[in-house]
Amino acid sequence: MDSIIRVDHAGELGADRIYAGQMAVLGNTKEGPLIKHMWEQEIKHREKFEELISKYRVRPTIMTPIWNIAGFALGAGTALLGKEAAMACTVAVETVIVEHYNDQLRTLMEDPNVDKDILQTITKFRDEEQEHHDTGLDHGAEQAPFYKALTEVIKTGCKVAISISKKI
Amino acid sequence: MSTALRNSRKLTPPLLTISINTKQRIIRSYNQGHDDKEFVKVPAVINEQDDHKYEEDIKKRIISKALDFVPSKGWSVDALAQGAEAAGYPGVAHGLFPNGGGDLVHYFNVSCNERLVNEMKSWPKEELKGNKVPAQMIENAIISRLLMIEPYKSTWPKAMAIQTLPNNVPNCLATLLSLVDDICYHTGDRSVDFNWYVRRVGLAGIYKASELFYLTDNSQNCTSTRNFVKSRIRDAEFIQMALNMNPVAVAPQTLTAAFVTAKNILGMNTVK
Repeated sequence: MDSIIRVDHAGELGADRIYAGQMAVLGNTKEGPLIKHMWEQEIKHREKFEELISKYRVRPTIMTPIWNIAGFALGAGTALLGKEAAMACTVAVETVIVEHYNDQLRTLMEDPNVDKDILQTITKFRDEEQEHHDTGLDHGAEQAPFYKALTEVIKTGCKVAISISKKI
Repeated sequence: MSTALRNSRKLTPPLLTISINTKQRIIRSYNQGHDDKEFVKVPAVINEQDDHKYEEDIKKRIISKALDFVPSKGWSVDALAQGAEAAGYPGVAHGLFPNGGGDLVHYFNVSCNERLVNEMKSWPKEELKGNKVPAQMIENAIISRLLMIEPYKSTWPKAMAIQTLPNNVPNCLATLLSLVDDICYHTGDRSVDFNWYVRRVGLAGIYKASELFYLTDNSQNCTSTRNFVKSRIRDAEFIQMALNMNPVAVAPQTLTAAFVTAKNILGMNTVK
């Protein structure tokens, strides 16, 4: 349970920072409001997990400062490559997160006396992340330069970050 | 079938037949068991959880008695053996604690931490509001915890030495961290970022330093320790404040300081 909350909090923190990075670059373009909407949802997610961390007295991941910077750099970096690349980044990140949430839901469902609150939270967040993923595709993610390579690299990075946050 | 096998395996531990006769403390002989009512058969343990709890209970009973012998015997196997006898078990029951004195210190620390948590739960929570560091509460927590070692103060340096032995270090660190985690939590720390680590490590340092100071403190009501803890907490607050300063806002000062330092190093300072 501890590791689930810790890694989810780290993930939402990273996502929050990615959108912050994208907003810093693309804030004044016509994609601005869209990214802002997704960013606000991610902030709500992060706050929810912060609340859960206090409730369950979970140790937050020691990598928070690193994810903080890495997330912002990833968001701003891809946004600098153009709005398509930013969307491709969103798609890649959200794919991994949705998969990750699905895995967690499967694990949690196996436990008969699981906390319903957490189950509902994760289900709701999973659906919203899926929406972000679809929004990204709708806004021309696949037209990004080196779409395949870019998303693969980001996906691998996210997976590494997830496994690190689970442990420490 | 398999459960039967497991249970039969459980019959081997020597604790199965225990003398609770306080007059004759030695286990006399397992063969001598003919209708001797003074021996109580402990029911064979069914599952591992009960088994574990049962063993823990015995350990706790022995430890609480053994603590009475600490001032005379030190944190040693001797104290454990005497404690076991006082609790109605044979002296060899100290074998339950393979680390000897280390285990004694560890269990003592754990029970003190539990006591502190229970105390802290009853403390008023009004100070928790706002961003202020609850310095008074942290100080009270540290002092209350230090006062728990008061009865064993004369032998505590030995206990601290025992805790630094390599095989006791993991336990010692774990209890220290759980102590500072409890103090942080119950004084209202709800940080979810790197501050979580900064506060806990800082508090652990303060606690250990205060512990050392306390050992040599002969003042009445340990006022010197109180002052020491107070000033350490104030130091920590300063450090935290410096860390939280906006790097851009203090950039001019930082640059000036660097420039002056460089001038001094080069011997270009104007002050003669």
